[in-house]
Amino acid sequence: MARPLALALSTLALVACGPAAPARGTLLEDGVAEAWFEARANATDLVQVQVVFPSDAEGFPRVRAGRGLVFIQGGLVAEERYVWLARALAARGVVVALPRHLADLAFFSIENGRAAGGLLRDGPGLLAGAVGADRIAVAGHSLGAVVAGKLMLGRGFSSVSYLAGYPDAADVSGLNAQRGPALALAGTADCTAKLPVVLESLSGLEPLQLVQLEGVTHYQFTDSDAADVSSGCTPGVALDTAHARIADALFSFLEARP
Amino acid sequence: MRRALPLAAALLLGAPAGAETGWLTSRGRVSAEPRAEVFGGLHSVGAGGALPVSAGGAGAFGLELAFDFVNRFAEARLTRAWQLTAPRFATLSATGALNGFFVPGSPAALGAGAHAGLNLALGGRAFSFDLSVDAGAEGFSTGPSRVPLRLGAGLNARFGHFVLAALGRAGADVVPGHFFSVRAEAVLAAGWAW
Repeated sequence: MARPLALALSTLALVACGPAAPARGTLLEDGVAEAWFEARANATDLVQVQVVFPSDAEGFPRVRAGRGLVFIQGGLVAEERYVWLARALAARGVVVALPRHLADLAFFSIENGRAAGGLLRDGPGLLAGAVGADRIAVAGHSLGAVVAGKLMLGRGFSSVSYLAGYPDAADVSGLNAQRGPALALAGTADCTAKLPVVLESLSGLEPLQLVQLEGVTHYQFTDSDAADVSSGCTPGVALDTAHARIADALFSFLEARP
Repeated sequence: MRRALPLAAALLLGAPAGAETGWLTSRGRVSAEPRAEVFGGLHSVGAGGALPVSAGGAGAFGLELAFDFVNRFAEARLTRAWQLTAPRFATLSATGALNGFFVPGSPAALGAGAHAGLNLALGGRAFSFDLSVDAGAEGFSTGPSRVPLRLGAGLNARFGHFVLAALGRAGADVVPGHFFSVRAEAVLAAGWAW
């Protein structure tokens, strides 16, 4: 009798356990910390979300009603490969959420990005009050840019940024009707999302702020350009330089929004 | 192809489950005897039973309770199965189901849904290969709604009173006004038929 009762009680305890929301973050560097949260997507799914945020020395956010950004990983590229960008933005005051996706393909679980946006908006645990509800933007790299466009179309985000990518052609008319602020960062040395294709795909989008990054390749938007180099795609600039330009352009765009 | 197989495996093993009709009654041959089963997979564990509506085995009622230990929510499934064809090599059944959810959180969510499915068993009473198709609609107190669509396949074996099954489903939840989420689950089930 005791064993079934213990099983029932432990099951009940698990069921009663909602999504995790840490009380403080782990410092990554001076002024920047990270914390892992869980958010509900599609009613029942628990999504793991890494949040990188501007922090005090104790691992608590040092912003109130600040800017937030949900970043969508490229196809088959792990989300931790964009932590460099999250850290660069967090150092300038932006709270960045990186939701995990099934098999590193955001296209198969698009709602995860929306759940990450809800996490920043609702502010559980240490995020309480850190991000302004109407100051949450979405950005994506490569295939993640397609998903970012779809998330922007579904509303709830104040702007969208396409990094080495572009929205689904089927979404362009809806995005234009929405008139939301949009940024596109395109590397001139990108061998995967080639510049002419990117420019053509973005041509019908309005409004759009387009920034061409001289010499930047596709994987320089991630933490390493080794995949470019090994496939014979030679970057025109060093990785650190590319990172600085990407972070500057994205932050300038976000900063210009209210 | 070298990337397709690991990708397919990652999708099937990593996709969230839930939003599904009952396991016990999604088989082409509706059991003519009362039956109880426990089942478990990479996402969930559960138990349930099925009772024939009549001695002839023309249909059955089923009740299952499942707990998704990855996504931490509980689900109850009440099902009704109708045997559409007489038992032979290819045997067809239909299922209707109502399901309810409890999803913890702040706020906690309650959900309810309805499903309908068709099931085909190829084989006999002792061993069969089953195929199924299932569609439903579900809504939650926190707002979201979804339309689960699934294809299923399974192997069912019976040794006297003992029943053993390996069952799997894959598909997507279409989210009205938004997009879709890929879903999949495989379970092993063991039980007893009286």
